[in-house]
Amino acid sequence: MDLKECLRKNLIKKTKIDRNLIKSLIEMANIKETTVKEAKLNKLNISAYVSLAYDSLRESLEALCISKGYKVLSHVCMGFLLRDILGNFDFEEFDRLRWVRNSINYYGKKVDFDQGKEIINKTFLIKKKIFEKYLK
Amino acid sequence: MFKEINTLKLFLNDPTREYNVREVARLLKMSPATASNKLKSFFKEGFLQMRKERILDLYKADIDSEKFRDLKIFYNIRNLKESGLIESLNEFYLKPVIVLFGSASFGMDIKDSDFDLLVVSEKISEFKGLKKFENKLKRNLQIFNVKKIKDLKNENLINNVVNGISLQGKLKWI
Repeated sequence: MDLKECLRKNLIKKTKIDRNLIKSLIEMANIKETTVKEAKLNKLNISAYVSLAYDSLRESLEALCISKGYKVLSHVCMGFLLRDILGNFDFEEFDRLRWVRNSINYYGKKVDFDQGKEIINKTFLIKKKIFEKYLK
Repeated sequence: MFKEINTLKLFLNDPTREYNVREVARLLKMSPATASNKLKSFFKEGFLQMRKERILDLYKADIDSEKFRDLKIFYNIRNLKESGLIESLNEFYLKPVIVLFGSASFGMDIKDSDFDLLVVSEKISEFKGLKKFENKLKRNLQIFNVKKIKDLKNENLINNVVNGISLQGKLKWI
């Protein structure tokens, strides 16, 4: 899959810039971030919170895509699009987080506690950078 | 070229060993005449060296040839990827950055050389499935597992790694 295929398959569509939707998505992304940060993380629940942290990042990125006039229906396509339109987007890191989230959600992968905590921190660091640069 | 790798794999697996035409024919299950033609052609193209000893034409890899080394790098990468090692490292370390470095990344490795791999992940833990892949690849695997490249500390090692080949992901200094 690549950007051309995403466009051809209509997984990326042109959309109007909906300020209310952008605001809602950012709010929801922040609620999820707060939920993860206030949670009592342990060995059992860490994987679920890694997944939630990823959702928080993904919703921020979805808001960013809409602010650029795109509705994206696939996570992988979102990565391709942002790599193309932002230039300095860390595609590899985002794609890795997507891979980790998919392993948890679809294959029941359990993440080690310490690694999970570090992945959560990395995820929110990317979210923070994106927010400060593009969504403030 | 991919078809040719099948004939060259004897030399790619063991670049320091000399083979005569009959040996190559027997090992690759082809007629001596076909083997002779192919070996002559590889010699002309600069992949192999040839010398005569009494009535035998002896061939071995031309490790000084850039062509051979380029092919060797490709062969090393494909072998590593097709062994399933990357998938197993992904499962264990959660899709880490993986860099092949050292002699194998320059196509200068010989039969007894290790494959040196840097694995960058939040997880620092010994990968248990190494033996299985060492047997599969018929090579020792040396895995350096760090959270970030700076953790390698040894300047020489860092220089070796940054001159390596990324098999997955991107190395970051910061």
